[in-house]
Amino acid sequence: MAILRAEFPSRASKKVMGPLIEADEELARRSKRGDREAFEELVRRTSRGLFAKIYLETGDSHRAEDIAQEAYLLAWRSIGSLSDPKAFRGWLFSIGHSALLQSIRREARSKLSNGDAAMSAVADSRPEPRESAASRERRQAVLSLLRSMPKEYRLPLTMRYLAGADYEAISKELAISNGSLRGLLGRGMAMLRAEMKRLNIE
Amino acid sequence: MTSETSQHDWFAERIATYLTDGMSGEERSEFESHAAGCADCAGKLAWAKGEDESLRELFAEIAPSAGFEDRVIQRLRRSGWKMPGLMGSIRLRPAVVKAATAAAAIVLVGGLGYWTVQVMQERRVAGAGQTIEPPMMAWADVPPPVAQRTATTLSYSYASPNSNRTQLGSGYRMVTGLEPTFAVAADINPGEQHEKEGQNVLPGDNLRVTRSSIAAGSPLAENKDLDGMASESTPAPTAAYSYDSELKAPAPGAANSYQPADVLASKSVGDLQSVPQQTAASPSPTNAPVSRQGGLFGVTGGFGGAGAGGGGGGGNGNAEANQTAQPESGRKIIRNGEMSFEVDSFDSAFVQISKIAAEEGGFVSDTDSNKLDNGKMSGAVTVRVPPEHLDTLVLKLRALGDLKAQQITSEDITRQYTDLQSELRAAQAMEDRLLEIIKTSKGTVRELLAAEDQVGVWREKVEQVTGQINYFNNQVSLSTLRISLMERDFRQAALASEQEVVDMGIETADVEKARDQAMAALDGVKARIVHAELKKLDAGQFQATIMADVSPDAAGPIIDQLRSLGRVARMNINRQQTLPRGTTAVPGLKVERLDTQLVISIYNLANVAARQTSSVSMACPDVETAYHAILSAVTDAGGRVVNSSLNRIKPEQADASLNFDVPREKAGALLAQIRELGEVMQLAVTENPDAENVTDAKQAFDLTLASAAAVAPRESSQITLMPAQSVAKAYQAMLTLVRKDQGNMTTAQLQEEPGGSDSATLAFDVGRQHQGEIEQAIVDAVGDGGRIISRTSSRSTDTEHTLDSKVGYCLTLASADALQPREVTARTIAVADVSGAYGRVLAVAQQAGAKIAAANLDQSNPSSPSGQLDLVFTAAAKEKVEAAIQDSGGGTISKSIARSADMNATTDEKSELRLTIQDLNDLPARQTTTMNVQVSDPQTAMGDLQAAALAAGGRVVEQHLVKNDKYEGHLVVVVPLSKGADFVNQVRDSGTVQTVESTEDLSVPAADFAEAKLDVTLAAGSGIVGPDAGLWQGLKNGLSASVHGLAYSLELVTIGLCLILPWAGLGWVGWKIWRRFRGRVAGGA
Repeated sequence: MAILRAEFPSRASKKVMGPLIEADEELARRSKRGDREAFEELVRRTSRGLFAKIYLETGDSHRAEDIAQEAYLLAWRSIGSLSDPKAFRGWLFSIGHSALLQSIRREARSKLSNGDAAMSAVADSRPEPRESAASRERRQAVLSLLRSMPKEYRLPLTMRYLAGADYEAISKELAISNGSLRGLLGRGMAMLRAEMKRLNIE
Repeated sequence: MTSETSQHDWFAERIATYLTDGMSGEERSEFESHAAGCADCAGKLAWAKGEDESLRELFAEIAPSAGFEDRVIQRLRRSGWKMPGLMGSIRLRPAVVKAATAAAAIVLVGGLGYWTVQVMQERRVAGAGQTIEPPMMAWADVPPPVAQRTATTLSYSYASPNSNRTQLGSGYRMVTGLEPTFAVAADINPGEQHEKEGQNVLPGDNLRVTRSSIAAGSPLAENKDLDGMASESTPAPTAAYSYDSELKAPAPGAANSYQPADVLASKSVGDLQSVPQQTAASPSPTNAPVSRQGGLFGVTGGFGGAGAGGGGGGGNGNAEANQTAQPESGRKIIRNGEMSFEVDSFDSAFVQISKIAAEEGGFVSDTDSNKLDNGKMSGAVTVRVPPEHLDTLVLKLRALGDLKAQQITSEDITRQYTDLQSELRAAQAMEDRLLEIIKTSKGTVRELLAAEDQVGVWREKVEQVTGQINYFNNQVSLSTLRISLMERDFRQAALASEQEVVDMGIETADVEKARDQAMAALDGVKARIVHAELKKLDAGQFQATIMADVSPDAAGPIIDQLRSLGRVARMNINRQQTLPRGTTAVPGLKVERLDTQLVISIYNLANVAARQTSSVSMACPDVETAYHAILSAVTDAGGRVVNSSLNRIKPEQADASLNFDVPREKAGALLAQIRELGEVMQLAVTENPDAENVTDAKQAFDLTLASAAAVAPRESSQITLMPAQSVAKAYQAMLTLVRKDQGNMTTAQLQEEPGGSDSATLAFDVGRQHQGEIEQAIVDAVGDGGRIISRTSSRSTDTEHTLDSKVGYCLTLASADALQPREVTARTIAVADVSGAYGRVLAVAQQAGAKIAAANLDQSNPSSPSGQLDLVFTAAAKEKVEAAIQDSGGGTISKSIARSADMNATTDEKSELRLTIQDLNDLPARQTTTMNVQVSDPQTAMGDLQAAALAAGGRVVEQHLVKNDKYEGHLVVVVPLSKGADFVNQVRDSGTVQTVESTEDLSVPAADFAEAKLDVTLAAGSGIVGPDAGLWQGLKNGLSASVHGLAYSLELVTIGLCLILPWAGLGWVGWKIWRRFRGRVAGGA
């Protein structure tokens, strides 16, 4: 069993991750040289992860999408400042984060100029159409649960539920090896279920 | 897979993977098969699946819809793929914008700050005059600095009653009257003022007191402040004090000054009223900003106190109340004074001083007097008085007489005094210690002896210091006032003495005899001979000097006696009155006559210059005779020949000079005698200055003799004449006449020439008496048919070296032929036939009787012969010759006529012609034209032109035709000048003229015979392109244009770089920022 468990990840990583990471790095390098297609490919590979991450922070899918788009624009414009193509994802996420912060600031400014009180929460409280108040409440509860989870579990779960990604997509976007993702997903889901049960979230 | 539990665990671990479709086929089927076989595990899976699905559903709505990635990419594409790279990297980051904004803000703020500072500084500078004021000192509370208190000088200066008030400071105020008065500046309460003075004023304050005595009434009227009071002032002389603070602080401004004034009427001193007056130091407008301190201390100790007392007491004039508070702080101040008076009587003044001193509690400590020759007394009295009474004493003493000077000094010795006391204590302590040591006697004998020595030293020190302290105590406790007294008219002289000094100079022939007589005469009146000497000098000169004292009464007779000894050349009598030293004369002074001093000098005239010298210059017919005659005449007259010389080469060239002097009375006769010997040319009399070594008794002569023959006549005539008869005859007649008249012939020359042009020259001078004969002879020589050509008579202005007694002549005799024609014509003509014209003119001239001076025909060069003719002819012949020249054809090239001056030996009856005949061909062309012509066919053109030239009456000089690659012809033709222009036009018509150059020779007359020369170069037609076109030229033009263009474009580029680019960049950045800002606002909204 131990042998088996040891074998799977290694095999999977060789088959799936190796070329992928190299390709990521290569794509980033090409983008840096101004290759639009390469960047588009990078966008395809990373957009859901970024979205999920931003959504987790904002709790508003439209806004998250806007911010993600903004982030990609920013990323493309400042791709020159990417020093290590291997670290493209981390760099992208940090850009996403700063795009989010910018967006929050902008919102705060516009709110101030509209005479509203200062922004108190990151989450958007606007009611979304086509959904009930109950499901919205539950979603917020789950989101706050997710936010409170350790980062290594949070990201795959976010990918899974918020971005609707399947196993392969998660592994691709987060660039996590097959074996470790299995453990992370399994334990994360179990943790989430337990928490939901404990907090009585239906 | 071997164990059941591990199988379940394995399953549980993979539920999540299974749910996310993360399994490959093999694993998946194994997983599914286990779920199918194990209900428990299947339940778990189902539950997990349920949960998973519910969560997925929950977030399905918010998950990005299918085209999310595409939308992102679309957006990227829409926004234009702003390429990172050159432009992208320049994009301004917010941080940069912020930094720039901050920098700009800093610069702006800094600039504003700088501006503000500048503005403020300007304001400060402008307003400095008004705004900066020194803080006003609380004047009442500031004690004067100790250092400034230490020396007080009370100086007194006397001014005569009529002295001008201007010597006083401008701040001077004066109040007179018996009643105490305050004159106070408007806003200061005098009472308060005095209170403050009381606190601060100490006797040692540094003050100067100035006193001025003023005739009451008159100058006071000038003082506006006191107009009213002036009338109250008594007519008696008034003393006023002005106290000037010497504090270094400048005086307060006029507004701050105050003048509390007190009156102190000193009744006890008779008609003198003293008014101590304190004023603020003179307020000068220039040192306006000051503290009031300066004014505050304007109060003296004694007088200030007295003043204050007077003010407070009201009429208590005497300075007793509130007298100077002696330094309560234990200050030691020595006050001394000095006064000087002129009094009527020393003794009565002394008595008065003693009385006043006693009144003031003092005493006379010293007196010292002496009586002068004139019976006047002067002396000094020293009074000791308690210091507080010094000022009163001084005031009272002023009635003593005329005060000449007064000075009061203070010396603050507090510090020295304290030092001395400390020193004394220390010395005493030391002494006590030593005495203690000796008493206890614990040391060895040697030590005891040393201690004894030390005791002695310290004892001495104690004594010394004690003595010093005592001296100081004495000085402090009693002031010393030294009064100098002088009786009036102290300097009047008692007796004057008078003495006469007589200085005589006597000229006499026999000095020794005269001296003996003088000595005898002096002995006769019992004169005292102080000094007598007899000197024999060179050149037989004797001089005797006698100095003697004789009683005044005998002086007159002895002087008369001395006068008879000889001629008195000079006599000075000098009477002088002398007074004893340091005294002045008064009318009616007794005069004592002292012995008369005689200074007699007796001398002979041997070496004495004559007063008058006559310089005579004369011409004698016989110098030698005259010389000897004069010498003997001088000796006869008793004269002395100083110097004489005779220089005789030939009798008529001799000269002599004589220097002699004769007694004055013989001089006139001698001069008359001398005059007879010849003709005096110059006589000048010079006089030496009347000095001691010059005598009137003789006259000097300075005589120069010259031979009459050697001297030029004053008047002379130059005559040129043409005698009627032959020159030789006239010459002989004249020569005979001159010899007969004993004339002096200088030049006689006769020149006879075969042609009859004889001439003669005669230069001579004759006595004036023969002038008529000579003139007649000249008239005779001219006779009938001759004439005088010129005559010039001149009379020299030089009288000194010429003689009027004779007349000079210079005769030039010339025959008619010898006279030169006056007019000379030089003429050059050009003719075609030179030899023909030459022959014709020559023949005509000979025929007309002209004189042919020169004739020359040069035919050595047949092509250009030339001829010269020099003809002299009369007016009639001239016309014929002119006609002949005219006939010969040709033209005149040059003609010039020269007329000599009228004075010369020339005649108008003849004229000379110098004719040069030239060949016409030798004449250069008048006009030369050089042409370059391009013709189609040079050969034909040349032929045509040649024909044209010949037709126009010209000739061809040169022509040749060359063929290189094409024909080129060269043609030189000469045509008459009138046809020249036509020919040039013809050439012009024949082709294209490339160059034309025309020169004109102005030396050739533009007459009929003048010619024009044409130098024509004919060239065949030109090529396709002109000389200014071609490959090289094109290249050059192109290069030039390119360089110009390049330079211009460089200019533009420079402008773009330096002017437009910065602005464009600025604009672009601004646009970027604006865009960004706008975009952000839009995004935020």
